[in-house]
Amino acid sequence: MSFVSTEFLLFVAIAAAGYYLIPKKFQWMWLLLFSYIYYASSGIKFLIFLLFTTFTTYSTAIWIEHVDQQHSDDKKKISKKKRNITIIGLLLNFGMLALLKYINFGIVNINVIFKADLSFPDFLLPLGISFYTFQSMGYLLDVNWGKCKAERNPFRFALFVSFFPQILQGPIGRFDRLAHQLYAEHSFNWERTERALQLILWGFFKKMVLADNAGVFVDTIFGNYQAYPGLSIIAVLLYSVQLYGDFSGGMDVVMGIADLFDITMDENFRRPYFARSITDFWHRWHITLGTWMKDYIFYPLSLSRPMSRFGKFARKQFGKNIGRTLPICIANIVVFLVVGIWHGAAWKFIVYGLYNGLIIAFSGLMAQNYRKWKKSLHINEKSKSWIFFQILRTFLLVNISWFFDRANSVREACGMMKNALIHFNPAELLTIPMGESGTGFTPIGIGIVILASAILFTVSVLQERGICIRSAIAARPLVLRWAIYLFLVFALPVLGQPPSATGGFIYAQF
Amino acid sequence: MEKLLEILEDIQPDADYAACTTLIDDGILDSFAILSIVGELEEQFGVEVSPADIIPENFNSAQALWGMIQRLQG
Amino acid sequence: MRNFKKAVVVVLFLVICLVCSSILTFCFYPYNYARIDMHNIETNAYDDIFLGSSHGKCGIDPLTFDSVTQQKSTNLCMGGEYVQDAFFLAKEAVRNHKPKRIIYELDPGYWVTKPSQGMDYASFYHEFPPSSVKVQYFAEKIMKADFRSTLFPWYTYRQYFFKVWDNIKIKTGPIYKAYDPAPFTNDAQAYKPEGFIYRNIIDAPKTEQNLILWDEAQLQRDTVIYFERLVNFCNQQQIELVVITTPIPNETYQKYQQAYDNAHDFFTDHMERLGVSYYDFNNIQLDGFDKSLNSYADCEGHMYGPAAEQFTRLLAEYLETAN
Repeated sequence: MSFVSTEFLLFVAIAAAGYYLIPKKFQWMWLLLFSYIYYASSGIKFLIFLLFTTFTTYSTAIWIEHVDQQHSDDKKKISKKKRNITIIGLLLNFGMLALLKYINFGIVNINVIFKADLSFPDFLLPLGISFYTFQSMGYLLDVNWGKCKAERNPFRFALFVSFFPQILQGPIGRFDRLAHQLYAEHSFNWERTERALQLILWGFFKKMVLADNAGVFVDTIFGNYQAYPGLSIIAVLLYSVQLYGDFSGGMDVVMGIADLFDITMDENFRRPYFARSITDFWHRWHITLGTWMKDYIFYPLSLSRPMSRFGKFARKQFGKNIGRTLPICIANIVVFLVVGIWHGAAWKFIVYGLYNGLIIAFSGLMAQNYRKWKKSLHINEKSKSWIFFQILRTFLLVNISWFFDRANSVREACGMMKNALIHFNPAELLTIPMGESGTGFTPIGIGIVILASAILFTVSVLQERGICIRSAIAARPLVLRWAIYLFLVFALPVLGQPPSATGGFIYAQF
Repeated sequence: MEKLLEILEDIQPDADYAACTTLIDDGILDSFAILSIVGELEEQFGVEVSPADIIPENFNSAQALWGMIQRLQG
Repeated sequence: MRNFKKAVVVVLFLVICLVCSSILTFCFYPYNYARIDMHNIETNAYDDIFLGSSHGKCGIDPLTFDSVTQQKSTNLCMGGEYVQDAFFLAKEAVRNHKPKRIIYELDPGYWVTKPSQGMDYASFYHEFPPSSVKVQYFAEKIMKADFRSTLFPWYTYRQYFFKVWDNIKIKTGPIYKAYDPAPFTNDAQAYKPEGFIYRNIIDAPKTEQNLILWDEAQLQRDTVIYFERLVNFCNQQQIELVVITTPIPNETYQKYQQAYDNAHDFFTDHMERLGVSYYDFNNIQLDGFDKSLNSYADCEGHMYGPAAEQFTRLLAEYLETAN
């Protein structure tokens, strides 16, 4: 069910209405039912994958706890046994994900390297497999580390894995924050419902008015960059707007829907383009993926025995400072390699991940030097001009990474960046047709993107200052409130781009 | 405790480790800093920090860190 | 009391949105000849009904057809009419007056693409009167589309604000109520009786702008399923189903021969398996019909009026002898 379909709106309306009409103790079962209906609507045959992850994670978590409760003085033996069980669970699920998502990429490259002619049938990815696998594996590791207790009720656990608002594109939730909300009893609240609907409306505005209109230009230029040599810079800027509008808009819709059921999801975006460094950017962009990587790959890898040994070796060779930072840098690069691969089975995503990883690793290594240089240059880190410089610099670095993310290949990304350095001709933008209207409406399309960007920028600045927009609007007189809501509602059909053949949210493909 | 404060100052200077109780919550210590600190703690105090120990409760203040070290040593 | 007040405010807001949208629908949603086509099947009984794409709309003249068959037919083809739409049109026709035969004009390009949610998407749906068929059509097509298609049916026409005044004049005047086809007659074409679009021979460049070639790798599963449902429906209703492909210009055929031959092989095989008669007029000799570009308004295959009348005559004679 597409998020933007009438079908889905009806589905949510019925789910939310029923949720508050039935006895509270059945609410979580109602959610489970609707989550499975939603999942089945993508194809009944895909349910088998969801059930596979649910069953294997549920059983291995209970097995781990069972081992943990064995009375034994040999704590090391128990710890090792728990770890082995965890590894089984991880291999089964990440193995499944790797098989479905990356087998074709692997085969293509094997064929190239070994001049072979292997093939593998084309699989359609089960809905949300990247998201629910990561969420489930996080839970498994939490149980292994004793951070949370294993869920004994298989149906309750099934709800944690399949909760429908988040299954398509995240956010990736944590058991200790999400589960108790899913299973608790909730009462209807008008204000909360209103705020939720406003958030959903805002999310659709970002998606349909900002992202989809920008997307027309992005798709055209990235689809044939050689025809538009003067537009590389504008293309990547429009992509940064499109990707943010699409993904964060989708997140707003997800969080708004969850709010309808009185369930608060973890934040996934925090004004990422105001970030002052690439590190800061990843604390603001796709936050739940970043924290997942940090807690389940970065820390464990950095604290692992081989890494400790390497750290000792590095200290001897390179001195204390580099010695203690180098293992962390390497772990960080590995993490971003995984982030890159998570985005897709293509070399450009690997480059994208490495690019981010190397920048952060390098700045980690240089941290002490940076501090020294800033002191000697008398740079006031709190000054507005320094902060502005940092934001601009980070935005530039992020946009370079977007070339790799969006271009069709590494070669094309490099080609576009080369164009960006040599050519700049914004007038070429006017040659790009907008849907069925030809180029006549292109200036209007550009105007809409600028207007929507300005609105989003204003909202972001206010939010960055700590202002809660929905509360601020709620405090205004009725006429003004309704004017804003009517504008947003009618902006969707009047200013929004009709869906293309490929439609849908960008992150729904993972 | 002084040794710990020395380590903190060396890795992430310009923070008030004596008084601050929101080192993680306020983003004063990022993940690189946390892991550098853990590396030093392992080197200097001979403790073994696991990923499960890296929680705000243990890292939000110098006192909390000291408490964690003592627990791991004991 | 507070809750009740809040509920009233919310309902009032929704009512205002609904009223605004209805006004915009009245102003922006144009008078479409789908309205006339639907009116035809709602009010008349037909022996033959043509369903299909714009090739059929421009290529088949029901009056000429009837002059050979001595039956009554109507043309419900339309640009943007996918098999799913044809299926529901068939159901709607049967709901009013069951035809003896449905002749489906098959354009391979419609089997390898998805419908785009533009102006054509809900053209026929919009004109369906309320009924169980419309509800089913809504559930299977419109509900799955972008919610703006349902809540704001005018939105794909939003750029035609300069036509708003004309829309209002037509809708409030006698033309709309009398299903008058006058607004659809201009220099380029005319809407003739029983849904035939007569393309005038004018001096305009002949392009292959909207040409979509057959590619079996792009075959849409949904289209295949809906066609099977159409076949089953016709069998259940004891309606004869005949499938044809109208001829395209020789020049286009020669340029993309492989694709057209592949399509021919595929559909011949497919229809045989389904037990449906299929006549591909790209492969069938048509004595008296000029298959060169002279007969067509474009390279894609939309016939000029006179050529269409000629083709229809030959089509009718061919089907009579085939029976």
